[in-house]
Amino acid sequence: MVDGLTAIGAGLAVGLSALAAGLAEYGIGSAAIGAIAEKEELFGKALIFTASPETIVIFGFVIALLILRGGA
Amino acid sequence: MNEAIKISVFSHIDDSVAVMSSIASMGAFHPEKTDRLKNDIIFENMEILADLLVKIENARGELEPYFSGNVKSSKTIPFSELIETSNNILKTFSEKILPSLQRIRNVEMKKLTIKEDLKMISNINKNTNFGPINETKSSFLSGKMPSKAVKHFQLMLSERLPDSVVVFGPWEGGWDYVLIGTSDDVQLESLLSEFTWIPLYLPKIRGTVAEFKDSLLKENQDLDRELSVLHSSVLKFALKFYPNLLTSKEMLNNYYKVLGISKYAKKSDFFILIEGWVLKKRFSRFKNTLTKIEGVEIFKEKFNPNDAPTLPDHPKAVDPFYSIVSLMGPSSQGSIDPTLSVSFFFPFFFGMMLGDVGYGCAILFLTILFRKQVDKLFDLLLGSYFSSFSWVLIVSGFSSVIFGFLFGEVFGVSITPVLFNRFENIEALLVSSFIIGLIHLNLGFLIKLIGDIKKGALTIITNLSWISLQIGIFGMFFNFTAGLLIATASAVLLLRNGGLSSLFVMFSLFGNMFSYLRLAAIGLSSFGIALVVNQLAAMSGSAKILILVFGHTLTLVIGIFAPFIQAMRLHLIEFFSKFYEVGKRVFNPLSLTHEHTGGDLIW
Repeated sequence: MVDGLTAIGAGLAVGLSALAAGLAEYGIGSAAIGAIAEKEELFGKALIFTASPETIVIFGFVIALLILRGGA
Repeated sequence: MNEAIKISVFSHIDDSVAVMSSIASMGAFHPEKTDRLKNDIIFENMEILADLLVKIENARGELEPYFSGNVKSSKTIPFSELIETSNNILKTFSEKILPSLQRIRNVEMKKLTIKEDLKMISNINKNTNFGPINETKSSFLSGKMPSKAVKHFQLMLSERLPDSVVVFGPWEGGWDYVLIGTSDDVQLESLLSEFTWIPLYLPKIRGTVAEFKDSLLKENQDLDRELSVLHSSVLKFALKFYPNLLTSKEMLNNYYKVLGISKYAKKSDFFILIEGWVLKKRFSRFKNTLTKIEGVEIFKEKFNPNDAPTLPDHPKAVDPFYSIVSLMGPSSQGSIDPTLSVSFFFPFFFGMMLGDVGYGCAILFLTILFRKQVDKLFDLLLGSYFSSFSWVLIVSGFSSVIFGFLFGEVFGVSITPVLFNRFENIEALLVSSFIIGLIHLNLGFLIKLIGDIKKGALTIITNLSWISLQIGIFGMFFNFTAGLLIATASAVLLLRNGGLSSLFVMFSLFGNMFSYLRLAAIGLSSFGIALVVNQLAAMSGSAKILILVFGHTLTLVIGIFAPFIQAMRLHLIEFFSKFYEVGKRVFNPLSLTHEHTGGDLIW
């Protein structure tokens, strides 16, 4: 039972943070494409900004790891 | 960063060309338009030069595909002689080479048409005879229509246009081609308006399709023979003329650049004034060289440091890493060029995240093998500063190999690690990522501190407070009271100097620190994906090799992309935000090209 709940907790930590990152990247990505269409040299910066929300998933992933390690 | 100072150069109007020539040949002057005088400087030769340059460049471009080999360096010839020589070269080019080049273009066009015609008629029955349409009727139309409608259309045609000749045949996808020959254009047009069909290009065929095909193939062979003769004649010309065109272009371009300084300069009745920027460290040499010309005076001007152009200041060996810094834009006057630290930390982060001997070797091998293509791709995607980015990937690949040994990973398979296994020591990996982050961030604060000391700015206490705040917080784990005291004192100093905004920066600093945990997270996920590929392959029996190759190729792509983006992000967002101040422009000095020519310009 505890193992199952641990797994659900870890899954939620990664899954929900991935959803949040996806939502954030959706907005940033659209704006980035618009900016690149206007000014091609912004590609590099746009790429970085689009990847920025991935931090949320990374935190989620780290939390999931800690949950799994704690529960093991 | 290399600092520039603003200067003004005054010279007698008669010496203007000599002064501009000297400025351009030194390659140390970034010109700027002046508004201190009103009259423009106009050289009549500018238009002649520009016109010649365009013509020579066009001719060079035409001959480029026909030339292979090296061009010997030649001495720069005097201006008037160059104009005459260039005109002679152009005359020979237009008389002897251009007609052949034009004929080559025509033949190639004709060959393309033949190719298209052959492709078209390949769909038509070889025995169909189009003779009656072409030979007896004034109008010839072709198109395709649904096969089902053909009979109905044929019936209508025989009722309303009894004199017409029509040929049908199967085309493709349920369509038939149709060709109509008639002398009654008006009736035909009114009839066609009742049908929806797709106009189709078909060659005007005389006789049968087979006969037409034979004639096309024969014509194609004749054209091939002609093309081969033309090519060998142009190749001979190119061998002789291309080097002349290339060197003339370079010389004309250099002369044009010198006269081009006049766009920035202004004149009075007696003297000219040129304003611009010179690097501080090259000023004395610049002044000594220029003041050798009689009557030249150089003055240092007052300027706003924020307006000054800057030039990156780093060892040449780490130049490819400046591409990452360049994404922030040029730095402001007085800032420290962080390229050297980027050249260490970028491959370090990349290697730590990927950390696999197999993938590291693959990156090294592929980048070395496709260096030119990699450089071209990055240049295209991220700009000219990335034109030698393959070096960054090579160093990063090497770093991945080293980390691969440290973590004991080869294509997701564990070997004996030198340091520790990432998957079995997650806590150690997280702690090391955090500590590396702290070192990186504090290096940022340190760079800011050094820059501020150099500039004499009054932000030294604030910078030191950021560092002592972190020491205090982490000191609490060892000596709580002492740590708390240091942290509180630092926080008070920060709030006093920076106001409430410091509070926001404090929170973002903690966010930055935790952001470095991605070094561990990305590493674990890339190892995890490789592990899954290996497990899938082990389960799949006969398709094992296919899954291994496909899976690891995919992981390699992710393995390059994710660490590249994340290492870049750690620099651009976490690291640079601590010290990097964006300036307005890059120091871009006027310089002459001496790739195929040497010596001074002679006016």
